[in-house]
Amino acid sequence: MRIIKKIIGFITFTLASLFIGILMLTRIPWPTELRDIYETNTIQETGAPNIVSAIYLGYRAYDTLGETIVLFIAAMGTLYLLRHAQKSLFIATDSTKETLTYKTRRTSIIKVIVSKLGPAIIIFGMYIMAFGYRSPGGGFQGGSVLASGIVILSFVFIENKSKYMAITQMLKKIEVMVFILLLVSFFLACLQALFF
Amino acid sequence: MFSAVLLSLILGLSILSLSHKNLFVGIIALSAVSLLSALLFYYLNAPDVAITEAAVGAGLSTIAYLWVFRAVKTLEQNTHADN
Repeated sequence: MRIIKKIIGFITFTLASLFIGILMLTRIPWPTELRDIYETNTIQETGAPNIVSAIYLGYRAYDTLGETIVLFIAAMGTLYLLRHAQKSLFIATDSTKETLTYKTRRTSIIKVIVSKLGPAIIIFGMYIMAFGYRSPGGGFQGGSVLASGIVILSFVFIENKSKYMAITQMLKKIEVMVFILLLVSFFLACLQALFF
Repeated sequence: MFSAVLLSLILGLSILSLSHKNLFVGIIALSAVSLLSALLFYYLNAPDVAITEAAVGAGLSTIAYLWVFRAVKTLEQNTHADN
């Protein structure tokens, strides 16, 4: 039975790679009209030299706004579920073992590297967000770099539970404020599109 | 040529991450796949996608996987201790 499954998987893999290879190796040229339109008109119409940012923040701004709201709701729901799942997962564990793993994770290598590298990552994320119209990047990329910097810093600077709770409370407040800002901007954009 | 080398490395690491018995090795191989594909995107003139792949694929998702891995490990230890 297992051999039959492996043979079926191998045949499927071969067929799929043949199909993709034929698609990639054909000499049919890609369509170029839309690319040429964007190349000639973008700088006059939006003023942004980075055409990718101009497309997804200028021409397709409503799509990006709706996508951001969907992503935000999905992340909030996942975090909610994960917190409650973690509570139910760690009910049976010994609390001393848990604090031991927290202590052993914080070695001096991690401390030194993270305390030097974390602020640089955060500044790089801010740079990507601020100069997204000119250099590669944008809001989403800069935000993810910033989030990874915050996560790396949280490995080191969470000393005990009370501080951890304070940080999560602060992050929760920031999250609520950003979500309200997103909703307000979405409705204002809809109003502007309707009436002006 | 460079992209072919990168693609074959990505293929080998993906097969390793699927087939290895140790889950930790699988997670690290997946992170390496993300890093190599970020390099491939940068080589193919898509630096936006490369930044996203390096930050999300190699950074955040690896941390999420390691978190779940730790939870699963403690759960397994508890079930073994119960049995």
